Amino acid sequence: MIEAHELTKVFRMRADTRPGLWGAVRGLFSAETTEVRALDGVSFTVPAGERTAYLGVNGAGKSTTIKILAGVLTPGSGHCRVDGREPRADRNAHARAIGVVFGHRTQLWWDLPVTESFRILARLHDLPPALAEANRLLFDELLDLGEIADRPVRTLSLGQRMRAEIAAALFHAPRVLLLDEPTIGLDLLLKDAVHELVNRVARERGTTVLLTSHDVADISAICERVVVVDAGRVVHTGYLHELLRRAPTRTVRLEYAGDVDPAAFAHHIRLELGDPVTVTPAGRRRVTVQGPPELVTPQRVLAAVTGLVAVTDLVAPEPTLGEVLRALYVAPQPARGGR
Amino acid sequence: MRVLARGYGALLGAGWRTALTYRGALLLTALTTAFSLVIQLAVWQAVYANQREIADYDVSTMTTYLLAGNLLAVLLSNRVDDTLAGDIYRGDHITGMLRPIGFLGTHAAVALPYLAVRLLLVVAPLLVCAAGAFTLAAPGLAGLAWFVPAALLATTLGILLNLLVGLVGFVTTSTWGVRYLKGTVVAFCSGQLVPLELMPDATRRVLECLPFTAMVATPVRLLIGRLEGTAAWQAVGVQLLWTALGLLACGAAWRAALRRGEVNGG
Repeated sequence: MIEAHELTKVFRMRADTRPGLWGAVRGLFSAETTEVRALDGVSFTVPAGERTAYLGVNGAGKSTTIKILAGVLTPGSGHCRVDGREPRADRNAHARAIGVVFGHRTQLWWDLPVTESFRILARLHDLPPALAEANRLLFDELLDLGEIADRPVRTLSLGQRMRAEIAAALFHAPRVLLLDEPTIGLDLLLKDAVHELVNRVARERGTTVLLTSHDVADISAICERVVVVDAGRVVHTGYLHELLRRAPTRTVRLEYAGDVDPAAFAHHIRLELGDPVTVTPAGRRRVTVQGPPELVTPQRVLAAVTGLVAVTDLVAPEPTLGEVLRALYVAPQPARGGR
Repeated sequence: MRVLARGYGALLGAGWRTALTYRGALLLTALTTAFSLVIQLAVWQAVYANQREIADYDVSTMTTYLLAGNLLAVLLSNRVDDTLAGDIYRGDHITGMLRPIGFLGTHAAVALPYLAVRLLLVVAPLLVCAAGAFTLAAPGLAGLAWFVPAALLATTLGILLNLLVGLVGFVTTSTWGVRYLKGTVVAFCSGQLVPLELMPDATRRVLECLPFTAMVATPVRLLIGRLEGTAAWQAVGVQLLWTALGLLACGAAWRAALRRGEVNGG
């Protein structure tokens, strides 16, 4: 279980980044600092065994939260508990309870072969040999680690290294898994493999998963719940299927038979459905109707065209997670101070 | 405790293999040290051309002092400051913090095999070569017996000093300047290049109050018999004191770094 309560974090940075040579010289004599409020009272809970996506645009505060939960950053105020433990209270016990992937950093030993890193991790975590062997077989089956096992980590491609990183995070069978952009650099097949591995581990071992990713496929494939953060504040919490229902627009595509003037036909539909619905002729005898979900339903569109044309096809695709998130990210949030 | 011991054992093994990865760097270290030593000895040979002794140092004792001091300095260079500062600069130190083992202890543990490799592949061959090439003042048994623990304490101080220098990265981000300064200060203030007895009294008195003396001058003076009996005990006691202070300073610096809590690179 993960609990975050009113977490804040403010970073102070030197404001010596003026451009040009003169700016650099002035920076030598300036002690001016600026504050960046990365977290502004973040609260959320991830129940034990649940897989939750922690989403937001770049700079929203996702990675800062993950680092606080991992125990590598101290919050300015607020507190959190991961697997029933304050991350900083007993760092070694916390490290044994969690597995973390930071997509652009390595926790493997740069100059040593991958197998050697796993051998060291097994000893650091005091892993029973049977569990270490079972994990090795599982990772080899799903992530195909065998082909890179004897190569020093520094010689691996990004994709190969990420496979090893994910396996390293799961190797000691952690009860909580924190994944920060875990599929960076992976191709589609390997992404699928990672999704399968995380889901299998979560299902079989009851692992709690918190995932940050900009890849909609990761979120859809792994998570059942979402927490959306923007400008350091949680702006949405709920199940993924509920979030999909929050789509701000709905689309209905209509194909018809009959000779009507496309522009007049579109105008007619728009008048019937009302503002702010848009109707766009899309090729021969086809229109796309877009607007708020309460105005644009298949039934209303059908009713609007009945008597004018014979409808030959009507499609109302479900909104994608990408569309919903895009709308959520650009929606204005309540004003707050200081960022 | 058993788990921690196994963990540190694993890290020592990893450090040993990593230290042997870049053998070319070891060869260059040996050549650089040898070159520097030859230059220093040539200068002192010229100084001794017209006199037998300087501050009770004859030419063979001075040669022994410089050889021991320079070889000990090889063991003060343990890369802890380099790796720690680099990790902090890139923000990669956070992956070390995710391991169930002490963060600073990990860096110190990795330094031990690195120093062992330097002892075997740089110090020992240079010592053998120097013994064949120069006239040395043979140290007594008592001097050797004092030298071993004093050299171990000096090496420990080197690790602690480098941990502190690396941790400065949390404040300065880049530690290049600090590390350069540290190298220069240690070389001049530890007595590695010139015995403290040859320095002006006021300078010597100040330097003897600093920890750098305990890193080279103390073990080498013990080796050549300059410190005996009570003076030897006192000198090693001062080394122990600096080691304890170094441990406390590292702990305090690490706690301050955690409170500051910033990670470069997102």
